[in-house]
Amino acid sequence: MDAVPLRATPGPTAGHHFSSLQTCPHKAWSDYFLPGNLKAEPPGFLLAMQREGLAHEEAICQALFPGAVRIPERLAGEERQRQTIAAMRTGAPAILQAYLSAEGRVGIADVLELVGLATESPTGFLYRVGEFKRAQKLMVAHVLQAAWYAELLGGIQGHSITEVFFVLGDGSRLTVPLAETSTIFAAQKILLDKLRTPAARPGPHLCKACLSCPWRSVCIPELIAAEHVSLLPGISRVTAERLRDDHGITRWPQLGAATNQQLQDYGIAPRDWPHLRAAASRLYAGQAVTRQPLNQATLRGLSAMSIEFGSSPVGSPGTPPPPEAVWLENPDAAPTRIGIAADGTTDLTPVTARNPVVVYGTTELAVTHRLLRAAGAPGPQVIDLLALIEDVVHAPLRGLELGQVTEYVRPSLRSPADGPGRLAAMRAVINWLAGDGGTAA
Amino acid sequence: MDVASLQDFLRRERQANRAEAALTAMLAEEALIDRGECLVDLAITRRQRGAVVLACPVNESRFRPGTRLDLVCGGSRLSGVITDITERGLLLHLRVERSVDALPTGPWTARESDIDLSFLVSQCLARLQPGAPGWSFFSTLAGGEPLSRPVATLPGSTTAVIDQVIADAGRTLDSSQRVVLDHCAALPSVYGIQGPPGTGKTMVLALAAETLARLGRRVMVVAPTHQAVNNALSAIHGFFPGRPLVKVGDELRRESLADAIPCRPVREATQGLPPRQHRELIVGMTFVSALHNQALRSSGLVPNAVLIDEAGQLPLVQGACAGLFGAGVTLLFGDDAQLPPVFAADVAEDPLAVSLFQRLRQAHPALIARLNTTYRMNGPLCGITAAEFYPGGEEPLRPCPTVAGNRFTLVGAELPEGLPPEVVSAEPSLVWLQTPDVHSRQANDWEAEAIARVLAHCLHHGKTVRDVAVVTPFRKQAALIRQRIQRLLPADADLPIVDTVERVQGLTVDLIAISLAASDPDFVTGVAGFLFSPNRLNVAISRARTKVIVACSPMLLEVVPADYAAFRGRESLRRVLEGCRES
Repeated sequence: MDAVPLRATPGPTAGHHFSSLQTCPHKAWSDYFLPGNLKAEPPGFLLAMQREGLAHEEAICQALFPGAVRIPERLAGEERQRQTIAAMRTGAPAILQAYLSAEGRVGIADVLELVGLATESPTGFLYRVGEFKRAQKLMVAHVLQAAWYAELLGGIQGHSITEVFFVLGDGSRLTVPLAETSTIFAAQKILLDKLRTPAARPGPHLCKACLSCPWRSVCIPELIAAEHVSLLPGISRVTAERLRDDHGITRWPQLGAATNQQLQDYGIAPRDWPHLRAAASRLYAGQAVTRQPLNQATLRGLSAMSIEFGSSPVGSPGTPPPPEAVWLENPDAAPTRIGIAADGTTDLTPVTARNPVVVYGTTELAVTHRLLRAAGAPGPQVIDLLALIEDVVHAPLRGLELGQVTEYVRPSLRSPADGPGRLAAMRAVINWLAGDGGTAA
Repeated sequence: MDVASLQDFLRRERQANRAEAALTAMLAEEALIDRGECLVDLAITRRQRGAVVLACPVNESRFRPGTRLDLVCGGSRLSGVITDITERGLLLHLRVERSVDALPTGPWTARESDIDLSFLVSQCLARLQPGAPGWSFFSTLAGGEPLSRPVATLPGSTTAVIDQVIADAGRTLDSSQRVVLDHCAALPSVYGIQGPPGTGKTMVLALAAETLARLGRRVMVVAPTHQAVNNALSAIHGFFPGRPLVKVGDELRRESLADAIPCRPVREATQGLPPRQHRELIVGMTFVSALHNQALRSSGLVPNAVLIDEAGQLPLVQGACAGLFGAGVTLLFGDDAQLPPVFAADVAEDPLAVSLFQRLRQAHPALIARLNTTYRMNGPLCGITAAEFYPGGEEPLRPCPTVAGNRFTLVGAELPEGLPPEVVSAEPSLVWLQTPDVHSRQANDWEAEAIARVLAHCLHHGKTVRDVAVVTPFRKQAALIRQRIQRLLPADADLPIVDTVERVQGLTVDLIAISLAASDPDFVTGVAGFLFSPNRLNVAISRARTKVIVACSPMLLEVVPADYAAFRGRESLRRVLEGCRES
């Protein structure tokens, strides 16, 4: 960690810090102190979700706030703030991308909606905060984020705000009273303030959220180098802190080698010992560490399959590329390439003869289901290997893309670029899950 | 909501279920045991014609009575239905086509039989077209105006029928029950009756069925499960033994059905009845059977009135087809503040992943009436339940005066050793046993030990196993508590019910102990939606007449769930527990 340069001063607290803190305190600290160029590429699904989120936001703006003033995002913060306040003073019915800031604090609200005149307010009008969310259910982080904007807005208009509203993915408008979350909001502001010093660094801890965290390329190597106890599944943050503070245990080999008596003394229940020891021995051997044991024979019997995609039609960059072929692995021979006609028809007989088959990721899964439906044949069971890994693997992976998994499983494999390459990579991952060695953590 | 969106939901749900099954198939036996999908030490206990009854001595499976299972052990395969669960084992009633002499003891991998209803439901949805049968009911759910609403004033002849039905049943109704019964007799096209715990929903259903039958309507009673159908028909029979009743379905699924009620295939439903009585017959069946048996239309049994029990557990995508039964009156009985239907995780957040009852509330809240007097919970427990789970409404949920003052009592004055006296005292009615640990996940030794001692104390001081029960969110914790209770009781003693909340819905006991078990903040965050579900807490608390003990760590109230609904559930739990502290 010494080699990672920190920012001299933390960035201002913004709405996203509340969501980071809820996921992992180390993520919130990293948001303050790590330079942006250390962020890992967002996984494909996250990029897709972000794109969909922006499109949703745009649609909502056009439908609900057609005459709104929009604060340009390309301007400097001070100018955005100035334009926001100017729009508030004119009593604009709605202000999109409203920039709100104060000393060390910043927030960009999706919309400020006019409530009415307020002669006692320095801006002359009162506004409420609204946020657009593509999700159909509300998260606590959404509410805390909106509460943060409401606090900043309250400072500008000189009038505290008691509720915020959300427009959710199904178009419904939901008003949330801020009193419900006021205690948590106050507590999280204090926690975030405490994290604004380099010394308050909580330290990384391996969890499911690491797989899509932007700081994973910094934290994961650190966890591996430190042989961190969280590499063992079931060791939560509170347990790791207790092991460190009460027993000086920080490394997984210390737990793996502990006697029954020691484990008892560490407060680990006997029912968890076998699983913990099995995980430690798999870490030693470089095998997949899983949250639940897998059926190795069934795994080895899976047939890997991949979809070869063409290019997006010229002039339609947003259109998904069409599937052009199916690649299917053969046990003792080169993979089979099955072409897909332009109208989407294909002969999937070789695929339907296998059961189950495994693909990688939701895009391949959806295309496979579509092709099987079009073929009209009773399809084989299709398993998404990515979903299986996400569900059961507890390993310091740098992401869920196939290349990121193979990088951990078998670094000698190049990042798979074509059908046969993807099949080879998937086979390596399947065998790793089924008990073959990979990279020792 | 339109038919296309329901069809799309159905397709996505099927895909999600298949994906979940595919991932489960990758797990090792050890993981399946952990997930409650393996049965161990299975043995034959009884043989019947064409069927065998199997039991396993330790039940740690996740399956509920009524579940149809496929069992695999090496090369051996069996399939059957769970007919009962006792505290000393899981009982499976299996119909097998070949003789079963000896069985491998297992472990048997158990999977819910892949009876894919999506094709049937999809076909039914496809029949919902403007002007066709079923469209009116569907369009009401979609927000359209119902053909007829309940009316306040009934003809004198109808009122006389209702009075006679009540008199024949030997019951006195409270005001909310009478209003609901009057509304049912007014023949509304759609009407919902919400029955909070202990408010007499099943009795009102029985009275409504009888009233409608006496008003010349052909009545059909349906529900999502055999158990619910059996309960409803048995209740009708209990109040009106002269009413001809038949359950359409397999004799093997009669379970708790009153002996006098025959189980028959649909074509033989009227067997033995003179033709003039066909119209008087009340037919019961599961909702899925009813969808299958739309041949009812040609059998002369097409109903004029359909009563759907447990409509709060019937998925909308199925329930939306209820109009296809052809009845002009559809009455939904249920409670959307109790357990909802279960959906695959990938579609669980979809706006269509709701129950039929919930959908009616979304579309037409004014078409739902709530029964408001509980005959089960005492004053303090009813107060907590009313405030947290049944706010609003024209009149608040209240206890019947005869139970309001009830308090928990034991024989003798001894106190359980090492536990606070209030766990067995008359006051307070709700007690928080604060668990002193912050790193438990699905099993919590401290809570298991404490609860076992409370229950053993109760059983030693005048209570029976039918008077007390334990609810916990996790099967591991249920097994641990059972184990601890067994240690404190004689080897052959019966055990009280110790199970997850799904199993205890419908149960009534004096004392309920709730063990939330989890306290590790990371783990709690991951299961917060489930752990803090207000519906589950409502069902758990409201099983008790006089005493509720909640064992959980104060750490639970410190965890901030990611999901806002789970956060609100946590706040609900906080208010309940803080109420304990204040009392």
